Amino acid sequence: MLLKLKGLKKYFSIKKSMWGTPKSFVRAVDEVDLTIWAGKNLSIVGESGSGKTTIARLILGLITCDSGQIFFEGNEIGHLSNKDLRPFRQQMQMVFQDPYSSLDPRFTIYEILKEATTLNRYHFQTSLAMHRRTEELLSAVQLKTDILNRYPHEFSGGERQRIAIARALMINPKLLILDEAVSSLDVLVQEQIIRLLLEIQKNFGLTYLFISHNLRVVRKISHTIAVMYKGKIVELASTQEIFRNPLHPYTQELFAAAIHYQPVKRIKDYEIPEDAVLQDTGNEHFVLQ
Amino acid sequence: MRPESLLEIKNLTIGLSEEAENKTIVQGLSLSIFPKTIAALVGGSGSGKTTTGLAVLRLLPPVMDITQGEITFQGKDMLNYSIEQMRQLRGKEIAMVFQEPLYAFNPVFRIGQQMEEVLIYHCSLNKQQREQRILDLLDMVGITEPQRVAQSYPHQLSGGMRQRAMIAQAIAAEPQLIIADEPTSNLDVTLQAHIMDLFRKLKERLNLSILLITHDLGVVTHLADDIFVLSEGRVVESGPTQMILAKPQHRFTQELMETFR
Repeated sequence: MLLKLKGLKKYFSIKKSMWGTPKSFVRAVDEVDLTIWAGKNLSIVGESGSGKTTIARLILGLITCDSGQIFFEGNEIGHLSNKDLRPFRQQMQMVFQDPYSSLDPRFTIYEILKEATTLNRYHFQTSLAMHRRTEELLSAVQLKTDILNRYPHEFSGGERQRIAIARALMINPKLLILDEAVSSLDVLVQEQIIRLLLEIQKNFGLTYLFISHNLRVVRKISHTIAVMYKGKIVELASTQEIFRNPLHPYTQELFAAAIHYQPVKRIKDYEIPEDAVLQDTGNEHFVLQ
Repeated sequence: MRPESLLEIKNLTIGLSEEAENKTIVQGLSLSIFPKTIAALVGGSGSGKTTTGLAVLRLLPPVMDITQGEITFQGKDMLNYSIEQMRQLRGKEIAMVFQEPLYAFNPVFRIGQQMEEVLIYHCSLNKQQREQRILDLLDMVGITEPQRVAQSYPHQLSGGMRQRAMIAQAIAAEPQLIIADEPTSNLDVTLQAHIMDLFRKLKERLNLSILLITHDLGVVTHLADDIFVLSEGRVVESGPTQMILAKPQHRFTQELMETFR
């Protein structure tokens, strides 16, 4: 087991009283249980505002949870100090949605890749070893190795995303979180990046946590899919199972939109009862009921 | 027999001006859009689809030039229009919906004010009529609280709402043709489906023609009457949607179809 989330909760206050006590909340992540096994990619799918990105930020310790636990390879990391968290953070990296803002425009590609190691206090024996590593990764993401002295603006969106992936791999992480990593790219480039990610996974022994609003995009890359709605996981099953038989009305809506490009008229928002729990309907297909 | 085309582009070639190595961006592109139809211009990034859309409205950036070809709208040669004639045409005859409405709207004016601008310029309505018309338009694009939205600033709305408001603004002066450049690329898939459905309804209701520019062939399969597939500045395949879906001839079209199967 690589990562386990248990009863994870994060509320954001949106209104405060005169005295600063919060009056109302957004339930960004609400009692989420989730397990990621090493080598088995998990995708979290849901519309904007459903809490997908908040989960990613909680896992990385960029924000702290209100309650619940996060286990990384059996170690509880949800409430560690920054210093104690560091050895675990080195094993998780993130690729962001927009490659136009995630790469510093004043850094050369070499500096971008190098920064990932210095920030994580990851040392190479010699600068030659460091150089070798950058070249190895650039060829892994199918870029030429002579681009190290160039700047991000010289590259297209797809190429930049490859650079961002190479940067994330610099320190040999075990878990790579891809937050809408292909959403801003055109469909053909999306395909290329996904094929590339699958290739890299074979060679580097990684596990992906893929976050997307589009069921179609995650189909090829995930073993398991979790559907999120209003901070809760409403459905969880293997990719084949969820595509064969989407059970929750919200999953069906996502399905219609992503696969058949058909809108579903939502008469009112889906009710989630307070005491609802994920229940197995057979075939390890869990639905919130 | 099909009626006469509304917009006809013949052999359009667009190049970068001389300093920039004479690179061509669009190469001999021809397409026609018929009244009350939806046409889709599909291609990857950098294929010249946005450039084509901008060329129709003569909004090309200064470094690009139309070096060859004809653009006729309702039988009239648009390339001979003066700047003033183009101004009259934009919004009134042909309107544009941009990809990212957050940048297309002016951030310091309320949505209602920006829509009113179109009405002031193109329609002769008094203040009261304009206000009523703005609310009607917002209602027509499926916004449930037109009053509130009209008084909001662009950043106060969600992405889907902004895009609906942008479409409302585009149809304000009752144009014949709307050019929509990647109108849903930044939206969730669920919203995307709703916006596309809105285009279909507007087409029926207002007798519009729509030119949809997109990289996602799947999005337009249920919507477009005709598809033009663009690759590296050339139309590599075109025809009625059903025909293209049933028998994609060009390798590039087949690749595009692979992505949504």
